[in-house]
This record gives sequence, structure tokens and C-alpha cells, in this order.
Amino acid sequence: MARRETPMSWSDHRPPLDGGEIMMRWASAWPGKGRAVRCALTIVGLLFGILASEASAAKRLVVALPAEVVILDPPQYSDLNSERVMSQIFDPFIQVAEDGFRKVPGLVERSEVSSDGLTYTFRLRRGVKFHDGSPWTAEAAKFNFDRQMDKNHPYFGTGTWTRAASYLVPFIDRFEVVDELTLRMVLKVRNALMLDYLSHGMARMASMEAIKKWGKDFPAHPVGTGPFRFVSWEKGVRLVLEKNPQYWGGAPKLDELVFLGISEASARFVAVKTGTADMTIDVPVDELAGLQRDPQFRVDMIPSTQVLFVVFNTKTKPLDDVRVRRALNLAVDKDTIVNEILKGTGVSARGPISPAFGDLFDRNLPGFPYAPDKAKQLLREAGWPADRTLTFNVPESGSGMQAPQAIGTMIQANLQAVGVRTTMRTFEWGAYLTKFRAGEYDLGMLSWNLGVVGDPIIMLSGLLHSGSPPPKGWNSGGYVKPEIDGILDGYRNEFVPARRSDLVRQVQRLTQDDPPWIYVDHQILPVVTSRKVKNLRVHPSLLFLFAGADIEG
Amino acid sequence: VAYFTRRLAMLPVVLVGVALVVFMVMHLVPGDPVLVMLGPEATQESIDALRREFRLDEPVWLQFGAWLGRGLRGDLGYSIRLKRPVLDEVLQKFRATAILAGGALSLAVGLGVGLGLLAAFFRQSIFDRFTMLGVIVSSSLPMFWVGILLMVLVSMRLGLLPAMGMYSAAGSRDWRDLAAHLVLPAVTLALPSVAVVARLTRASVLEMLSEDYIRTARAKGVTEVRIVWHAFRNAIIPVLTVIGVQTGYLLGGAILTETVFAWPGLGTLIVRGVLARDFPLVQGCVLVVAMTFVLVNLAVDMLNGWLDPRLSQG
Repeated sequence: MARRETPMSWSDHRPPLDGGEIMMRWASAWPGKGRAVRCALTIVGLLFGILASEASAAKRLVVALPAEVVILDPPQYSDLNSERVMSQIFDPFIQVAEDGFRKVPGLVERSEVSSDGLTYTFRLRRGVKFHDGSPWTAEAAKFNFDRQMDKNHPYFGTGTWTRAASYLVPFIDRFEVVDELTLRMVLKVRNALMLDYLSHGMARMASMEAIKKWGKDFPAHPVGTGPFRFVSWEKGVRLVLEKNPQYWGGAPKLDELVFLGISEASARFVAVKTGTADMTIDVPVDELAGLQRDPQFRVDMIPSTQVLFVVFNTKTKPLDDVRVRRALNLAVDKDTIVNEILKGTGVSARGPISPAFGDLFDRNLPGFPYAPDKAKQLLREAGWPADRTLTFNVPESGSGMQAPQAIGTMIQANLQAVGVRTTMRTFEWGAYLTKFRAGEYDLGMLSWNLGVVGDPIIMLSGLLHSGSPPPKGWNSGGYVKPEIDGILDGYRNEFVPARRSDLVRQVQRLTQDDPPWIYVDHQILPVVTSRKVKNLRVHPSLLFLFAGADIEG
Repeated sequence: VAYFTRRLAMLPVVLVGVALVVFMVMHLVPGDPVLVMLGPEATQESIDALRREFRLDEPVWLQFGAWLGRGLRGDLGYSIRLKRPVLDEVLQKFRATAILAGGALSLAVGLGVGLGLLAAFFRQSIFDRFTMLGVIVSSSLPMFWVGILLMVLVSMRLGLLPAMGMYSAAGSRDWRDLAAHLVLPAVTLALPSVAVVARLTRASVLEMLSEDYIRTARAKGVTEVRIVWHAFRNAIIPVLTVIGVQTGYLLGGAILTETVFAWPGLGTLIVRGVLARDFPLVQGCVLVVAMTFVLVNLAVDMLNGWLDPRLSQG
């Protein structure tokens, strides 16, 4: 009996894989023992199964994330996986739609801008409570921003506010409480993107009472207004949330969310295959086809706002010639990269803006379809020096990077085919970034999520503006295009959304004519879920929307 | 006793040396923790603010001095990436690594010594040949591959053991749960050590068997089992020394195994710390590992000295 109990307890990772099934597997591991034994084992297993399902009425969803959560305080995070958990606990000040970056009513129901664009008035949702019971009020909202912006605020020292230095402090003068549910924001300078900043992950609202109670220890006791409440976090083991039945958007159907951090892609694959997890992302691309055929799983391919590209150092000789830059774009076979290396976890890029941006993406943009002959011709016209070898820097891995070395090798071969020799140099990510910022390359690969703050222009300003070389920004390739500078500068003063979309389309046209980069691909994130999981949606920012999800027992 | 006091007194010197080397290496490697952490969104204002907060704008020797001063008071500083005290984090993860390395060590010693002894007893037999062949093969397999193979075979195909992690995602955290999760990573980690220990035990016992006192024993008509046992007690000294060295290997190898099996130990912490250039965290981890290594070797030496008093006279 003792031996039979052991596998039961070994496999109690999850209720859905019930005892009967395990006993069947256990039994089939001894094929020689005869039918009687197998029958007996099965019956015992079924009994255990009944007991196990009795104990597991709760609806629990186990998620295997590619890394463990780092911190649970909204203004302090800098990694996507922390935000994936925080977005369940905390709601953002300004809510965006489930399928894009449109602003919709959330904690703030309505916002009005004064005609000079300097004063915003926010009407807050009535009756919302934080998980600790304290009410959502204008005072609580002001507290959340003040503790990041105001060095004299009593709770300023309870964290490291790196984002406030870039997004809040330069633009916002002050917040004022008008009445219990009305908050006023006064700006120092006009900024049409202010609401985008306030929809960012650092502007998720935390309970004022909890911050006052815990101070520096708040990240260990996170309290927000979100669909799930924090229960426990055993570092390295699991992080548990439970449903917030009083959620203003309606109580979630799941009772419990469990997050595991599994950094190896193949281990994440094994985790969903064995039922250790109900859901994961980013499994090895070679396993995707098998999972798509497997009736137990569902694979959703989520287009992202990420772009992978190769920066030209336009300060070095033939790369200052626009014909050369066009030629190198035409020489790279993006479709093969996307299909053969990434196995469909990417879509060929036509420019910096991903189709996942929806209306902002210019559908009529031609891009640079693979045309090696045209590339050779352009290089001849430009007088490509046959003895020139380009240094091509590639990171080993890094934030948002998909198989950078394999892609780099492919690009190298493509360029070789049109007569452009390159030396590929690979660096570990930390060293790579330092080299990149120093401009020590002819070609340098990067991957950027342009949708981090919703509007892509915010990220593009740092990458393409001629006034953004390091240390100020990331334009270490020295790209200069006065028309683009003009658009980027004027963008913050353009309050009509349709006209802003127009400007984004103009940027795409300009970067088509005069490419600063080789456009490679936009990442598509494979989300693998057990078939039992229902109605789980993933936002283009690659956050998970668990509030409406369900699991069948 | 004086010998061991001397050894013990050297411990702080060794640790400061290790800390200094780690500190220098981490600062010589190109890369900036702030850049890695903030990445694409970094603006100069936020980079400067963070650098000031972690005193990265000060000269390196000043940073080391400040770190050492705090370290002597038992404060290993704050992790740049995790924003938590390093000491808490390291001790928490060290427990997991110690369990894994301990499990692997027991396997390496138990299996290694057992197999080596049996092989010596049945020397030149089929059993001996097969064991030694198996031992060589298993020690030549890359850990990463063995780990994933075991995972696929035992967990996915047979569904016998959990594939990863230290505890189940749900349910209780009792010792049985832990033991079940420990089996695969411990076996993966232990395999090469089993090989080393088994081969050494066999060689060492065989060497002893050709000694004069064994011939005397044989002449007296002592049974073969007792003769091998007799030889073993003398043969174990070099084996113990190697086990001490293997502890270092196990702690190092744990980094790889932990990554494969998502074991929440120091390995993952160090790797992530190095990638993020999280100086305080890496120093804290290495310090704890170095201390363990030194202490284990000290314990082995003491054990050897107790088994063979001649050793501690030197």
C-alpha cells in the first residue's frame, strides 16, 4: 500500500490530472504483471481520484512564466513578468481596451483637457475599494503620484522611482484633489501623450493605507484594486493570487492564480505537457507544430508591438549613403528568417511599426521585399567598395531578442550573397548594450518593444531623433532626418488623435525612403494553454487578461 | 588541533580574497547594471538617479571598501535587480541548493562507493567491466542533455515523477513532495560524481589489496569479504578527499541542473545576477558558495585526520 500511495503524492501537482489516470500510467509501467494487477491498481487509482477531486473544487490556473517575478510595486518594476502579475493585482490609472491601446473607462471614468492642454480633470469611478477595504479616492490617486514625484513626500523613499524621472517629473507640475472623486492634474508643458504615460504599468494604483502601513515592505504586501488579490509568494517556488469577488469589473471566474518562474524554454514545454502548468508562453519553436496538433492544447499566436532590427551606423562611410541602406534592406530574406528560424513566431517587418498597433500601422507600406538582384544593382550604383568589411554586432540573448545569433548568421549569409562582407561579433547582453551605446559597430542588432507606453512615438523619439544620441537616448547610429525630427518634436502638441495617426504614418513613409535600420521582424508570442482553460485573452502588450478567464474542472 | 585552528583562522582571509576577485571581475567585465535593468526605456535622468542610488557613480575601491565595511557587520547590501537585501535572498536560495547538492552528494557517495567496492570485489568479472563502462559513459554525458532526457522519459512518458521545481504548484509542501521533486535533478547532478567516486574507490581498494598486510590476512585464511572490507577502511582516505573536491563540483554543477529543472537555488540567482551585472548579489552568492567549499574541505580534512592520525601531524 505504501508504494501505491507514493506516486499519488508525487503527482498531486494539480487536481485535473486525477488519480485514476496516474494509476493507469503507473500500471502500464509494469506490463508484465498481468491484467488483474492492472485492474486492481486502476480501481485503487479511481478511488484516489474521487478523493482528490473532492478536495479540489477550487478553480485554479497555474501559469509558467519565463522568469520569476522580481518585484510587486508598480512604479519600481522594469521587467514584463513582474508586470504580468502586477496587472492582476493593480489597475492602471488610465485603462486601455482589451484588444489595443484605445483608452476606455476604468478607475478613471472620464477625463477632460482644458483648451490650453495644461489642465486635466479626472472623474474617478465611484464605489471602488482596494483589497484592504480602503476606498479609491482622489486623495489615494494623488498619493500614488506624489510619492514618486515629490522628493519631500513622506513616502518618497519607499522605492526607486526610475520611471517618474522620465515620464512624470518632466511634464507634471502638481496634482490637486478637487473633491472626493475628482482629481486635477496641472502640467508644466503641453503633452498630448500624457494619458498614454498614465496608462503605463508604473501608473498602476496602490492602496494608500497599505503603503502607509508597510512603507518599504509594501512590495511584499501588495494591495491594489485589481481582479485578483495577493495571497503569498514563496520565492523561487510559487506566487499565489486569489480572486477579488468585489472587483469593480465583475468577479473573476477563477478562484486562484498560481505563477511559477521557469527560465528554460524546454522546461516550460515539459511543464505544460506534464500538467504542472495549465499555461505558458515561449516554448521552443520546434515544439510548436507538435503542440498545435495535440488535442489537449491550444496554441494562440499573439502579434506583438516588438520590432527586431539592425541599426546602421550612418557615421561610417558607405552606410551614410541611403542607396546602400536600401540595398541592405532588400538583401535580407525576412520571410525565410520568420518561417525557418522563428517557425512562425514572427512576421516580416516592413518598417518600425508593427501591425499589432492597429490603425497606426500603414497597411500600404511596401517595405523591402527580398530582392537580391535589385540590392546588387543599388550597391553598384552607390559604388560599394569591394574591400570593405562591416562589423556586425549581435547579442547572445537579451530582452525581447528572438534567436539573435541564428538570425544574425542568416543576415550575414544574405549580405554575403550580394557581395557585402561582414564580421559577426557576439556579446553577452550587458556588454552588448554598452558597446551599442558607444557606437562601436557598423551594423548592430536590437529588439525594442515600441508599445511599452502605448504610443510608438515615445520610444521612436529615443531611437531616431537626431538629438537623442547616447547618453540622452539610443540613437547611437547617428541617424539624422530633419523631417522626422520635426514630426517627433511636434507630436506632443498634436491633440487630435486622427492627426497623430497621420503623423505616425508619415514616419513610416520617411523611414521607408531613408531606412535607419534593416527591418527584420515583429515578434509573435506563442501562448500555450491547456484546452481546459477558456476565454483567456492576451493583450498586444503581452499581458494576460485573467479577469474573464475560466477553467473546466 | 592547532593545525585546524590555523586552518579556521585562514577562513576570513580566503573569503576577503574571494570577494575581492569577484568584485574586480564583475567591474572589469563591460556592462552596466543600470543599462541592463532599464533597457530601452532608459532616459539619462533615470539612469543617473539609479546610479546614484546604488552608489555606482563612486570609484571602484570606495565601493569595495563600503561593501566590505558593511559585510563585516553582516550586511551584504541590497540587490540592484531585486531591490531586496542580498543576505535574505542568498540564504533562502542557498537552502534549496544545499538540499540539491546534499542529495546529489549522498547519491554520489552511496552509489559511487558501493559500486566501486562491488567492482573491486568482483574484479575482472562481467559485472566489473559493465559497471566501469557504464560509469565512464555516464560521466561523459553532458548534464543538460541528461537532465532533459530524464525529464522527458520519467516525467513526460512515464509520468512517475514531477519534472521540475522544488514543490508542487498547489498543495502541501511536505518532505515527500520535496523528495519526489529532488530525485531527477539529484540524479542528473550526481552522475559524473558517481563515476569519479566509483572509479577511485575501486582503484584505491585494489591498490590496498596488493599490500603486504592483506597478503598476511589471506595467508591467515580470512574470508574475501572481510579482506575487502579491511582494505576499504584504508582505501577510503583518498576517496574522502575526492568527495571534498566533488562538493565544489556539485555546487558548481548545481547552477546548470537548477536551470534545467527550474530548481529555485543559488545557481539561477547567480546566472541572473551576472547577466544583470547585479554586483552585490553576485558577491553575496559567491561568498556563500566559497565559504561552504572551504568548510566542507576542512571537515573532510578533519575526518581524514581522525581516520589516519599521521595526516594531521604534518
